[in-house]
Amino acid sequence: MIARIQQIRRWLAPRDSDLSILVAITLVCLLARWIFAIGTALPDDPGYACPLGFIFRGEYPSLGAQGQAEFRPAWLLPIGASLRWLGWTAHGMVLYPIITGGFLPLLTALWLRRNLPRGSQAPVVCAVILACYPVLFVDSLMWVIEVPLIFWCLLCVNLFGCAYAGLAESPLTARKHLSWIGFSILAGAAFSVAYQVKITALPLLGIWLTTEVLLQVERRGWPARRRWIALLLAAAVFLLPSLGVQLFYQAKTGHFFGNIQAEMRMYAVKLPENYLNGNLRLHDLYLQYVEQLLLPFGPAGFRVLLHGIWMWIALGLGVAAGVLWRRLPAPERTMAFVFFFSALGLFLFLEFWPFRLRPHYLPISFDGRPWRYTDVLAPPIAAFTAVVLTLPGVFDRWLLGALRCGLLGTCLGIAGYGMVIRYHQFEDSTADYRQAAVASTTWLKSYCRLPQVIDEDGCEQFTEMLGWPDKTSFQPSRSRFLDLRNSPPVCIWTGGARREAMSADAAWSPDRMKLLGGDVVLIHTFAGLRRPWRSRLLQLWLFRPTKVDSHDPPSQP
Amino acid sequence: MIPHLSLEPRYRWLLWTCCAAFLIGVAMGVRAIRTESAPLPIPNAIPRLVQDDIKLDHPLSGDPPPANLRGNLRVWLYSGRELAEPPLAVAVQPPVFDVSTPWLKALVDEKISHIPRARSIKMRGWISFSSPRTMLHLRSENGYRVRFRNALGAECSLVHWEDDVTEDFACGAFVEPGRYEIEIDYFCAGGNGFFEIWGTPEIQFDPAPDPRDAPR
Repeated sequence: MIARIQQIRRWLAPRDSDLSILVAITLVCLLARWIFAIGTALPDDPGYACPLGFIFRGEYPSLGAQGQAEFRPAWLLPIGASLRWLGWTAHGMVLYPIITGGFLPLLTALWLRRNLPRGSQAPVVCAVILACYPVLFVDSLMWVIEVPLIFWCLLCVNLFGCAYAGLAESPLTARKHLSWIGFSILAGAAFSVAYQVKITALPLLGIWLTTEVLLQVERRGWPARRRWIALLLAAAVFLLPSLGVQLFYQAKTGHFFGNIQAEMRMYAVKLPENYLNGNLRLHDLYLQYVEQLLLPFGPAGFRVLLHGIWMWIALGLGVAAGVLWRRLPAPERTMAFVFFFSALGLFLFLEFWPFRLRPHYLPISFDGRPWRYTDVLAPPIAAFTAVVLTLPGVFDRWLLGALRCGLLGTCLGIAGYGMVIRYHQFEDSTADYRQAAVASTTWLKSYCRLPQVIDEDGCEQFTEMLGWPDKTSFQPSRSRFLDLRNSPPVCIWTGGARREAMSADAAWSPDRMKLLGGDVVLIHTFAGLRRPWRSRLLQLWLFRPTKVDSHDPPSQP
Repeated sequence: MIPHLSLEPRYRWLLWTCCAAFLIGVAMGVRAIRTESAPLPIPNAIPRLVQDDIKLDHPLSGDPPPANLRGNLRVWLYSGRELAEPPLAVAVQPPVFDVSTPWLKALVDEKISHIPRARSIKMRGWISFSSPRTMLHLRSENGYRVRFRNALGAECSLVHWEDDVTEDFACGAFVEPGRYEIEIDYFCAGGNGFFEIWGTPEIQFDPAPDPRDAPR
């Protein structure tokens, strides 16, 4: 073992130590995500579980006039593959976000590293910030589509940057000639995949690729005109497969941009009532992202800063850097401001991009703004913060160095606290049905052969835990209330924790069973802690109905 | 990796600061969770059984309809472009719902297949009733969203999102007496759609027209 370590050390010695540190951080990120994998825990998950059922049967879900999930093959297919490989387990469900999330610090650090002078500490600091970024860490333990979206976009930016750098070099050798063509093709492919994960890749990469081009032009100038062919290659690699996919959508939906149209229609049915008469107040809507970025968020007693205090720090450093603009060294100054405005541009897009302009302006995500949409701000904010906190020469003074240590320590401490609380919220809010799923296949198996009655959210959780794509497995009824007067004995589930954004009171209460009329026996109670997402313990009851004549005259209230 | 990392003095400050601060934060988080960890009491009491407390009427049982059933349900096509204009009243024949049956019923089997896939159907109407503990049932196929809302703002929302369900789907909810706005979105155009609402037999639907029923 020692000899092996010595061998690794000898191999690493002549190499770039920063790169080794970045690889080590990536390995820690991957390991931590693997250990703490949660699985399905969000209200959106059933929307993805249904199309996965088709994929399991060897089909692709039908593409409807309205919808979203089925138009995201680069999100569904990798999840389907990992489920096939690892089975319907927490790791099988979230292997894709775990891997892609684990690489986010490395990819962002590489973006910085390519554009900063050698020896800069900014890439490592940036990787550390992103490794401990609360919302990114917890999101990569669940089905959060933004995680692979950011991964593919960052990969595209890095590959594009490598291609551009190769293009600008002079003279070009034959080997380098091939390498920049290869990078261009790979960049286009990554763009294409990102677009098939989520159409938000278009604005996201629009801003990030612009950022990268600005950095490259500032550093290397425009490439010779005859070398632009490589960039055209990248564009072709994106456009050709995307064109094929769009034509496929046209064949299936009747519209070339069937994916975009279907998503717009899905949101259109949720238009607020006051929209048409022009009385819609947008003030609260605009505040949602701001609150998520800057203020504690979550259920009562478990509120945490989703982005730690990195947003506050970035705002403060942004003001300071703006004041001291002229004193900053040139490469770092460009980097800092480009990343700051990249984050600002993304925020403005999320906040104000119009969903409709007629008859009134209506911003996108009008039906409530999920916290995960702002995940895309994390890489540029971390990059900006890292660049400013590692400005050469500034922190050589003892006082400023100590201040930087204190600031980073405070930020990381708050981030660690937030990660634990947030992880607990999602893990515990899905724990009840995870236990129930295990019990239903073991010691409660005989009861679970009976028809099951369960509230809708509980049913979704239960079926997800049991393996939704496998339609032959146990299926509880989705009904909230059934006419059970003439039914055989059934099992009824009451209480239990509810996922985020779901009211714990949505679960059936035991009192409701008295309305059924019949014999009720408590079978089992699943233990749990008192939490905002769990107002009652999950209980399983056996109900034997009292037979009545369905044609009885109604009783008078 | 780690032995190599230890040789790099530039990052010692970062390593120690980050590790120590992050671990302190994690420890404080774990402590906060444990402090809040009171177990929920286990309610062992079995609910009181009330025999025949409520009677349900199955819509397919063929019971004769009560005479006091009234309601109103209008249906119109709905698409993004038309939203900017007053909703188009669409004549759905046979009648949108049949007041001679004990349930509000919107049969849209044929109509829905004639609607371009680009559109969905939106129905708005109202139900008024005075019987307590009324249970409204919805029965449908394909995706829909229904929302009841009374004058006091109490809301009951039932959503069925899947569009690949072929079996009948029924769900119900208890609602308090009063007048309820009903809003139904069928968003899975295509396929054989039908929609029914029914309630307990003593349900009293309000027959009086109301200006609020006019399409907005």
